Amino acid sequence: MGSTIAMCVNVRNLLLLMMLIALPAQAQQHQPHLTLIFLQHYVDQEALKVDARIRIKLSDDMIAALRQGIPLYFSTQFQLVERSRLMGLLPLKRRVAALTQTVQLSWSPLDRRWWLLNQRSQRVVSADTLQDALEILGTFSDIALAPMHDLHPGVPYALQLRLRLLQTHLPPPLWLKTLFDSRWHLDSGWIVEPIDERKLWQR
Amino acid sequence: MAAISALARTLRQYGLVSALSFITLAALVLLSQSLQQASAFADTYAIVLLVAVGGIVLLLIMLGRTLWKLRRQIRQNRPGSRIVLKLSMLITSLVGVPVLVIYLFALQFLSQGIDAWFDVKTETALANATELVRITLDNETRTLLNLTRSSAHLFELELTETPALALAQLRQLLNADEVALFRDDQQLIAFSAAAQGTQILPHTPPENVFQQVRQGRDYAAMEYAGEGALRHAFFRIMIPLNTADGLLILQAIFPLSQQLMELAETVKTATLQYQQRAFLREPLKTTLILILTLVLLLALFSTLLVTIQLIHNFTRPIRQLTRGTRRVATGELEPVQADTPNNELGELVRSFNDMVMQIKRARHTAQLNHQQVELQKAYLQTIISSLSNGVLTFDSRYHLRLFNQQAENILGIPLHTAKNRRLNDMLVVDEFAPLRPLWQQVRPLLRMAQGHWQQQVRYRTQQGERILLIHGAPLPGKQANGHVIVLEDITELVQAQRHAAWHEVARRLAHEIKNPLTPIQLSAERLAFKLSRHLPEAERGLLEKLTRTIVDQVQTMQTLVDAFADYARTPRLDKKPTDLNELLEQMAHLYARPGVTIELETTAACPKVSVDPNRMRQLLHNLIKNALEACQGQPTPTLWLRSTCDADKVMLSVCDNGGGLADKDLNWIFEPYATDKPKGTGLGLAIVKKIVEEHNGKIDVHTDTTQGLTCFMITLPVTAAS
Repeated sequence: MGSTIAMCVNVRNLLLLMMLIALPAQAQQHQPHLTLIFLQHYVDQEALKVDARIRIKLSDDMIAALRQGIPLYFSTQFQLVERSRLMGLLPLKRRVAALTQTVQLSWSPLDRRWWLLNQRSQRVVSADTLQDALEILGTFSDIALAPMHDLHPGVPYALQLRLRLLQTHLPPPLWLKTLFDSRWHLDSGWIVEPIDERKLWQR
Repeated sequence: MAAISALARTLRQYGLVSALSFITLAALVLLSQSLQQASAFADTYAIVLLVAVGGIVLLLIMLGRTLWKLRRQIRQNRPGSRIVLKLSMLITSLVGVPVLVIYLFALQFLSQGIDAWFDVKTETALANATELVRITLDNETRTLLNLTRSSAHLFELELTETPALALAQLRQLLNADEVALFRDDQQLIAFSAAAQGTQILPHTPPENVFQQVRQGRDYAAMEYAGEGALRHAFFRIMIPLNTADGLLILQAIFPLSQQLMELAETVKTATLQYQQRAFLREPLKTTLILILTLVLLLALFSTLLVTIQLIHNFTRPIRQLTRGTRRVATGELEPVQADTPNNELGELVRSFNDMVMQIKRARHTAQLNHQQVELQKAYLQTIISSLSNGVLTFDSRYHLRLFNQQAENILGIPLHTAKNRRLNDMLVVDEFAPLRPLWQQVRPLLRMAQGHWQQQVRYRTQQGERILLIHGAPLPGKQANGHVIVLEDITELVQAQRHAAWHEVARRLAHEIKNPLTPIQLSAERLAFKLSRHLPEAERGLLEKLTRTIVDQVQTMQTLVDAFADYARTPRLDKKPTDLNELLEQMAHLYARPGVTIELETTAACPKVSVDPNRMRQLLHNLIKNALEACQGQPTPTLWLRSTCDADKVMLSVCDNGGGLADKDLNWIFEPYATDKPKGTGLGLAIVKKIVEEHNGKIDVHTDTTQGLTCFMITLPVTAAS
């Protein structure tokens, strides 16, 4: 299943790349994008914790869809990987810990508020404006990623973060459009931050 | 085995198209299902779409390849290719047009059907309902805020002194579910809840709300709590209270009536659904049109591919029949190796094969007959070629059909240029000019001939005049099929008969006349001797004159008879090696005289020849004498005596410039009595020819009347005995 999803993503990326090449410059100005403000890690209560903030800008199409009652789902993945090299040459990664959060962003016409629902914790947060909602969505604090006893001194680790819009959670009629429309493509890709060993062990 | 082979062929022909069509169809079904079961296909939608589009593209490539091959076959004039094209176009039109019409109507219905979901009234009603619910809730919130604010002022003092009691009274007054009092640092002071025992802590307000109230602003909003089925809405009212103990924050939680909540949820759900559908209207249309178009293309392409293959298979017997017919036309009589279907086409193929086999047998028989005819023809040709007579055949229109080498030799004309051509057309050519008089004599005979006929004719060639005995007969047949003419050169025969006759005459003359001549001469001389003394002078002279005449005539007759005797006798040759050059020199000296030039040109290398020197001397004597007589009256009479030779023969020639011979004399110059001279026996050249023939030689005469030259050419063989 995982390989199928990966292949699907690759195919979609390929199609998207083709569309990006074909798109006029004016259309590219309305594309959504993500900006990493910061990504920090620290040790607290015998766990490796992460704070991060990503500025999210949605495309007009996404905002229009939200206004029309279509919720958007955002997935945020945190991974701690162990980096090594096979025979000293081939780089290898081993995933030590992973955490995924899926948040639903929706608009309620009754109270005219923007609602955020964490799919895992079922926590609900509302905001008066979309900007506030996106700020809440892009702010991560005190994320406990891995207990310290799972980590070992002298081993190089890296922190990986990825935030993306889950297009597959959109209504099916939109799938075709999102496949070929970069305005529906929001993906930060894997942001990699090496772990500072001093922060881990020099306490 | 046949069934396995048929199955393998079917799989080979239809397997790929069927598999591709099935996979593409399955992908299209999945695409359509994804509209209803989104979660099941969400992750694989792109792959399924790619498979569907890829399948269509592959089918299109296959179709293009098939059409390209068909086009190439038509250009190469492959049998059956045009039928395949026409039938494919016909079936494509029959299937494609209705499918296209249905497709267009489906598009129309689809578009109209989706558009029919929406109208302005519904949209306005839902918007109004949403606005109504929102206003109602806002009013309720505002009312509860005002009520809470006013009630809190009433209990402001009690809340600082006896907060728990005051909160209980206040909750009862407000008819709230819960009332709680916090310090500005969010520390709970006291709270009162309607449902005692089940709730030990109040609904904790969010940090941002605290922040807002801390800044002196009231907070009133409808919120949700609980998860799943326990999820419910409530009003949260928070107001700041400035007391002597500092800033306190009062929170009141009011329930939302179940009816209002249900109505609000219904309106919210309906509005959201309507808005979602409105937003998804165009994407939905696009998706459905895409699926419908892909289904149409799948149906068209797969149908066309299968149809072309079906027609290709159906016309295979026709194609093989056509190839077979072409092979038969080129002479290759082989039956069609085809899978003959059990239908009329199969019957046609079987009948064709039977027919080819019959033709093959008939051709074999014809070939045998032809070979026999050819053998007979060759046999006949050999016979005709080996004939000493010339043979010519003509068709009914006098085209020369057949001739042999002997005919060319006799006529002295190369006849191959006239083969299969009308003889009349060829006679205008100079080369065929000698044939004209002959044809004028023969043609009436051919026209009137009913059976065998023969005619002796004289035929003049460049080598001289020939006597031909011509036999003719019409060729057998129902109609006039032509004629066969046999040419027999009887010149030699006639000459031989003539020679024999002359030989007999000579022998008889020698025998019958020579004997009385001597008594006549002696009697005449005796008569003159006896009577001359008894006659007067005048009469004596007459007697002597008469007697001398008799003696002279008898001597002349004696000479003539000697000549005939010489011609008639067949002497025994005394052959011995003889130097002909020396003989020529002797003869040149012998005849050397003033007023006549004799030029001797001999080849010293010529070998001696075994001949009778006396007979050869007589031969040269006759020729030189003949030449001298011919040169009489010429201003510069000249004779040329020559000898040449090669490996097996020696040639002697005696030439003169005596004026030449007429063409008509050439044939008969060696005949006895062929002379036109007032004197002479007329046997000189006849004897010459006889001597040559006695030595197995050959004599020819060449003359040039324009230069007045005549040459007698004698060829003698150089035998081992020489």
